[in-house]
Amino acid sequence: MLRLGLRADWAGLRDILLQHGLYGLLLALILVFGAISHSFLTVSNWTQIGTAACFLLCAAAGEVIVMITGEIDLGVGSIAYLSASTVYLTSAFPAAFSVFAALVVGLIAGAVSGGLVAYAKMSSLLTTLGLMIAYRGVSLLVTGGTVQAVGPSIVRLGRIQYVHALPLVVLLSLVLMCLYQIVASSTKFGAYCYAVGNSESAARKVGIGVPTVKLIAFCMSGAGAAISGILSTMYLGQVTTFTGRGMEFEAIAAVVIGGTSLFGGRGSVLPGALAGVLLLTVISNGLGTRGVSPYVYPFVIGSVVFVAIYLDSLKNWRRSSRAR
Amino acid sequence: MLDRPAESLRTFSTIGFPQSRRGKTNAAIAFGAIVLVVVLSITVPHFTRLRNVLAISEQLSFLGFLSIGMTFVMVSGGIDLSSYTVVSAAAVVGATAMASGTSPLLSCALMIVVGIGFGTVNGVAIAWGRMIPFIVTLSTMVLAQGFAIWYTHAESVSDLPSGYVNAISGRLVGLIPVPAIIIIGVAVIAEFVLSRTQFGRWVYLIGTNEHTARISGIPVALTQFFTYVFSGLMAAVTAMVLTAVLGTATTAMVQDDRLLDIIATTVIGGAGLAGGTGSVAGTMLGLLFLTVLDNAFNLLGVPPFIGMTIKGFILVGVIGLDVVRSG
Amino acid sequence: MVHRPIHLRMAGISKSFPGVQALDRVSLEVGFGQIVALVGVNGAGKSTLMNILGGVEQPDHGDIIVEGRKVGLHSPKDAGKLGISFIHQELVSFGSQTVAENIFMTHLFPNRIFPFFVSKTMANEAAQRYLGLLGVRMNPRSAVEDLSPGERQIVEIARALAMNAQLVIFDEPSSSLSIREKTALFSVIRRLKEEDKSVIYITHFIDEVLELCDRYVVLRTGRVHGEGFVRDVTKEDIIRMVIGRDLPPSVKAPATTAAKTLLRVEGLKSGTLVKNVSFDLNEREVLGLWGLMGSGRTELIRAMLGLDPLDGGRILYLLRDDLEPIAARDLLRECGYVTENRRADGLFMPQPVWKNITATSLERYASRYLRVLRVGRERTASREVVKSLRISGPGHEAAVENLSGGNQQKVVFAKWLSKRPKLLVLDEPTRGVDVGAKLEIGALIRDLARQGTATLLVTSEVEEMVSLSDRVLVLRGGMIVATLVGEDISSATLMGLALGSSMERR
Repeated sequence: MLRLGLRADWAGLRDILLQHGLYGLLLALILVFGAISHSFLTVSNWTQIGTAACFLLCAAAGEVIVMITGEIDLGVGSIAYLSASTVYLTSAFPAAFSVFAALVVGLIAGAVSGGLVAYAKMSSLLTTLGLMIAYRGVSLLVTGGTVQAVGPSIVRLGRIQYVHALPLVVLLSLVLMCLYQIVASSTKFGAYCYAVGNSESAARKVGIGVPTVKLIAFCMSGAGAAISGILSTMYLGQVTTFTGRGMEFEAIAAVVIGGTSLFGGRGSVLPGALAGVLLLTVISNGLGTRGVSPYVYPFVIGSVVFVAIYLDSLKNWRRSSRAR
Repeated sequence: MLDRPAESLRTFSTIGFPQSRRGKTNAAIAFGAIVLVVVLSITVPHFTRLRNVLAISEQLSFLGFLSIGMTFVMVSGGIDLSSYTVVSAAAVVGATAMASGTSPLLSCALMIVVGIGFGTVNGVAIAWGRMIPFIVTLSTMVLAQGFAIWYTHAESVSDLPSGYVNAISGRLVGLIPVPAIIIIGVAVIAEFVLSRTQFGRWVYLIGTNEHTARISGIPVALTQFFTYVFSGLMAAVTAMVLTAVLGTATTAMVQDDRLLDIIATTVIGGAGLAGGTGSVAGTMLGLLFLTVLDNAFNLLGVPPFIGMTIKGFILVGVIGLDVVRSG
Repeated sequence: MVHRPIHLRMAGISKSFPGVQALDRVSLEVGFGQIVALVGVNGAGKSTLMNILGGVEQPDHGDIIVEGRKVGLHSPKDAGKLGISFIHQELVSFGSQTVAENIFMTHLFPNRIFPFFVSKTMANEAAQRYLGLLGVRMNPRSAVEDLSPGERQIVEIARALAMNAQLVIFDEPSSSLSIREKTALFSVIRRLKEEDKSVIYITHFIDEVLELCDRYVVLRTGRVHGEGFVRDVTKEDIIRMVIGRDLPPSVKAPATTAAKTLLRVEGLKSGTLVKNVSFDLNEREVLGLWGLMGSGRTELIRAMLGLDPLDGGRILYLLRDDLEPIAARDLLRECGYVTENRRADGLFMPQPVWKNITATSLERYASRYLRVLRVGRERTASREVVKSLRISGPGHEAAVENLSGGNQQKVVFAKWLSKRPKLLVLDEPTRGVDVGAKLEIGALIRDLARQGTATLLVTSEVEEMVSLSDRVLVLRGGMIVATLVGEDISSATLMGLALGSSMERR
């Protein structure tokens, strides 16, 4: 019997740090903020963190799926805005219908991106960039470029809190994350996503329908973005021009921080993207409880993202040099 | 089989009818642009009036410099998403200096420092840090905008010295807008550098295959670094021109949707996301195409949101063309 | 030998493309539990024949008979259904996923209740079973990207088995394997034979044919020019059938008289693979670097040329009259470096031939101040080189990717020669090149040496090492363990040194 593959079982300290350092960092940050600011570790603050994060969590969950297949979706922010606008448009109808309509809109928007990328073989970067602008234009048109209130039934949903601490919106976003993670790790489709991200040509050779996989991934991303938009209308009671604005950048940043690679083929929703979103939210929240000027935020977040993508490139470089 | 992927538009003039898929697609685009201009001349009122043509030529300068910078970066295989926000960052620094009495010349130098500064950050991270251009410049984009907002506390800067404003936004011989002259001058020089010099050849080769370029002794990191610095410089030049034309410096001098315009101009001009193809001349043609389109929307009274949406979809189509073109 | 029943027969296959007859009444037979070698130079028709067997192409004439029944192979799916599977040079693997997932990607084990969920435990167990059939023990949870190329290849073979392959076709499988991995591969292939599977083994290494295969079929210009049992022929017989003429006896230049030392390397250390290497390289000399994969040959070169970080040691180069210390990156500028993989880092594939050739010496065509390029001069210079190296193809305005492998490799050489370097570093200079071009390149290397170039040669082909090198350094575990000169350099000694390393580190 030939005993093979022994070198594969040995992982150096640097590799372990690169893969799991994020969680240590997150923990350290929480402890530090908890120490320097007494309002940080309170239940009400964490409810706030949860509500601040839940919209990004939904978008991030979908983005993970798309990035695992090796593509990218820059449209999530605009799709969220589009869905929120749909909720506004259907204010006269019962809440369930509004939610359903908004979800369908998100799915269709995702399908358009997916179709163009998967079947017309267009670059996902540029295509979703273009669609992001187009969808934004449509949403601005529909809402008249200003703030619009949504139906009272939706608003009522946004006020629901469990145990006085866990808002419904937060709970829903966590449920979505669990769902998406299960899809990624335990279903055939999930395995196909990783396969396509690893090597499209190899996936094709073993008979995986690559375009279909990508299309479904973009639909999932569209759905995630849609739910993000729906949740934001629930929470705010309105749709504004800031809905979803810049969310694609935050989502990608959070997801890459959380271990999903820009090169495709690896990543997770839970615990990865969750930790990434939490990191960004905790930083903003922590800085806020210390009264730091909001003008500093972009610098801090930008620097964190810089470090995250540097590490991602490092990991990728180590991987490819080991393959030689 | 004659195939010259790097000189996309030249396949037309030196060989005759283009043979390659890339050459044919570019010919089709050029033809489409001519048709568009003709159609618009006939259907849109006031389109061919001299005043309008001059307005178009001035408008070229708003995105032109950024497009030229983007061309260099994309041909080398990268991308710069930050140049349009660096414009604001540079503009507010220079304008604030001017408004508090500093000489316009020195203030413009400051703008250039800011532009090159951000370009250096990008360049170092991408060329030596080996980070992915897309995400690095995405971060810089946010950082530059954040910088502009922080620097001015979200207010715009006016009170600019009239000497500066008149010099740059004025007209030469009372007719030709100064910005148009500047952009054409820069474009000619840039085209020459990219297509005829050693540096330009390096940019193309690095974009074609970075590894081969490195082994062939081409200074890869340095060249890539300079393309990003150049892009930052172009942002500063845009800041100089735009501040004069608009009369103020704001935190969002170039809107978000213009980013796609800039990329589209280079893609229309033959550049691909992968690098190794494209040209300044092509980009300028693409810019002309888009500017003419914008101008037409304006003259036809198309509401901005609709124009934005239509353009978004058109540009997606253009990008689809790039896929067809590269086979 | 027991007479095995015929599994597959390709009878009278003919196929032509516009302008060329790719296959002319080719017949090939494989029996159950038999390993048949398919030998021939590039362009002999091997790929076309295999494309037909794989359902990618349709023959103009001829039949394919599987177990006595005529079949039609109209698509790769048809081939799969008949149990025909390919192991290509480009591996079909999913790096970040596990061995088990890679093996069962096409039929992941569905959960009984919810069919779109997959069971990882079942997959892991089954993976171990299939690997066991191949006589291999591997952790099914390892990520495939952490495995060596040889191990990844074995995972692919396991996948073929899991997809019920009856006939496994190997396309040049050993080109990126170390000697040790090749031995492992051969033992796995022999296990396939024991399981009564049939094997077609495509190669141009005649040694492997003699070592592993039962029968052979030689293709030349689309026709069968020889076939039979391996035990009945010698290596020279097969070579004669492949090229149609005898190989010229390897011409070696007479032992070089005291020549100047051009390069001296002392105590080089880099990463984990290069531990302590020192040697001298003289003008007019071809110095071979021999060793197993993993002994650090390519890593040594990359560190020496500044492409990988150098952790210790120094490099001395002959500048003006004396050996002076030189930075690794500067050495890269001085020498010509033909890399292992021209597609990855040796050529600018979509660019025309002349741009590739002048890429290393652009300063020569640039004006002094503005660095404007004289394109006309570039083209003239490249035309001369193309003529002197006899590079043939669609012309030198054509993109290099449209040339054949041998001509592409010649362009790589042309690229460096236009720089007229005193030092040439060659890493597998004839990989993926047919026998004719191999000979031409070999002659070119010896010619250059005669004219004064110092050459550092890394190759895994014993014949090449023997016929080209004046001296051979044997590398093991990142250090030089032996130096061979003159008569000592022989296939037997080199193979022995390579295989005899039982002390290799895990």
